[in-house]
Amino acid sequence: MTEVTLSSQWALLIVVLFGIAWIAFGWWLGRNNRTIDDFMLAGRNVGFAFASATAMATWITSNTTLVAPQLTYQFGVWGMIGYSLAALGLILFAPMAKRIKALMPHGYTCGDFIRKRFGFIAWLIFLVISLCYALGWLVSLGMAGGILLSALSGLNYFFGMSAILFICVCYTLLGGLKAVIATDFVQTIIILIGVVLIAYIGISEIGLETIYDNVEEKSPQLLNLLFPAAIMFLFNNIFFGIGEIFHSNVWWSRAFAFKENIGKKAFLMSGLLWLPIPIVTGFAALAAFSLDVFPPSADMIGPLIAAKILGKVGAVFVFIVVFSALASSLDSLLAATSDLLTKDIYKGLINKSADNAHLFKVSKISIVALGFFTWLLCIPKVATLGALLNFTGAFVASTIFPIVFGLYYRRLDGVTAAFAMALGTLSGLLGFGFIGFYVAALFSCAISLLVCLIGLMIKNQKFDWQTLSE
Amino acid sequence: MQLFFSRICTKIVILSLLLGISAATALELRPKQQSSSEGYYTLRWEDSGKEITTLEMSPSSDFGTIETQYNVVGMSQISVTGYTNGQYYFRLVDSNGVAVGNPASVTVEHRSLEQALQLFGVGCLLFLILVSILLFGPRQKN
Repeated sequence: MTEVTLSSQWALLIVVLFGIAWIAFGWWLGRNNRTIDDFMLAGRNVGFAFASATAMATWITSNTTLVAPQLTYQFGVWGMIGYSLAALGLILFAPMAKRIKALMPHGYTCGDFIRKRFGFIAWLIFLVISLCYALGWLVSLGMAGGILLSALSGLNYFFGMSAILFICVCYTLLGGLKAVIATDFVQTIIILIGVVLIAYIGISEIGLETIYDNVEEKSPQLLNLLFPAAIMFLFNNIFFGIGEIFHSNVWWSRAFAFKENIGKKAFLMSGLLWLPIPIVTGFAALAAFSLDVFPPSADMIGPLIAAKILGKVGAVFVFIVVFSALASSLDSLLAATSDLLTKDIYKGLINKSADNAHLFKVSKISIVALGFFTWLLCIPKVATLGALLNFTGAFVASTIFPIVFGLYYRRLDGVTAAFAMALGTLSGLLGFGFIGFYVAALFSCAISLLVCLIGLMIKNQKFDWQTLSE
Repeated sequence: MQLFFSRICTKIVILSLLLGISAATALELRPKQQSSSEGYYTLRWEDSGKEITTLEMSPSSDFGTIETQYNVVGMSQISVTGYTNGQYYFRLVDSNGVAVGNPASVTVEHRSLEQALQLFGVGCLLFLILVSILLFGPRQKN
């Protein structure tokens, strides 16, 4: 059950070929990057097809390939549906992307918005939340690369983790956001074909009726629609997903990069296309009871089932799909977090007079430094990082309502926004500690909304929207 | 001198064998007792040198009825899921069908449905507020 299905020679060959292809593609795309706008925001000129593909590919990540099957394995039908509803984050970001582009046509990062809209204290709290989340996600992606490559092939964890980080750092460094978006487009096609093929083979080989009968007999709770923890998980996951997207510079940088009037359509399309993916990857977990595959750890159920269904040849395909899913998120996160470090931390706090040519260099150094720091944190292979990702739900969900009210209502002031994010995060952490990870984001979001509503009643700031476009 | 080393080496070999034997007999299914509010949990055991093939689950402590058998060849840990309220007993079985090590018990008591539905209601309300703002919120720029 835990035996490898792909030889290390094959795995090595695929990694080397993929690496050469992506890095060469990144160099080719980035050869005309001259300004910081070209590098960080792909010249603010990304069209509909590329825009939809990059949003979708970035949202298909180790979470979709590992955590969606894990949550289905643990929470059953609600786990599968709840995870797929994380697509609502992309769908609801569609109208926001239009608003963001209209309010801040020259913006670079979400930090720009928070600083101009809410002031220094709220901006600092937001930066802590955002960087904690970005680092947690980056490290979990690097680790997932190493763990998956070692699970599916003979390659060891250290090699797999180092290879995926090295490849993504190289092509992001050479091509900037242009390379990230273009590789995402190719990776989306690979992922879609792979997921559909795995689902088709799985269902045709085992049969829906057999899968249902075995789950009903061996794990009946997974089919129970009144499963209490799973019911709690449903909206928690929706708000975790919304929080991840609404606050993160990964998505804000895309809103700035997409052409005028493209953002709304692209995010809507990517959300609708993403919606069925976790259903398919999650559904695979239910086949565990028919295949007699039980994982040592719940997050390994997806690749173990895929390898069992597809055998040695199929493992090559699974390997490529998973590698693409990880790379498409890792590169986006590297680029977006380096933007945040360059524009918010370096220009905002360290060197306020830095010109664009200087920032261009700092941006590249940030990508290398971020890649190296992530690599260092990945080496110990801390087993609790999966939990850390869920832990970040308490942080990110607290930003949802301050950002939404901040974008649409002039009344919300910086002090209220700062309190909403801080108290929301605190209550989310308490929920995480006393009940479970499946309520952290919901608690955080609820308290943050309550604070925002109190602030809106007490204060009446008349914010000048023009400030944002300066 | 040579005799001294030879005796020391013999003692080390005997001690190692004894430790090896004691390690082989000290197979322990862990944790011996645990509770779960979600119906999923993990059971672990050390690599004892014995060929463990199956993990058996029974609703009774005497294992009179075996309800589920998990294939655990080559594993030292398993994540099981989908259990309804109740007490469950587990034991490891080797390739000869002989039970080895200690049995472990797990008590599953799911969270209250009322509490879950209340949180579901809160989630619905928050979601409606969010969608309303995004769809009908003011759009002024100045």
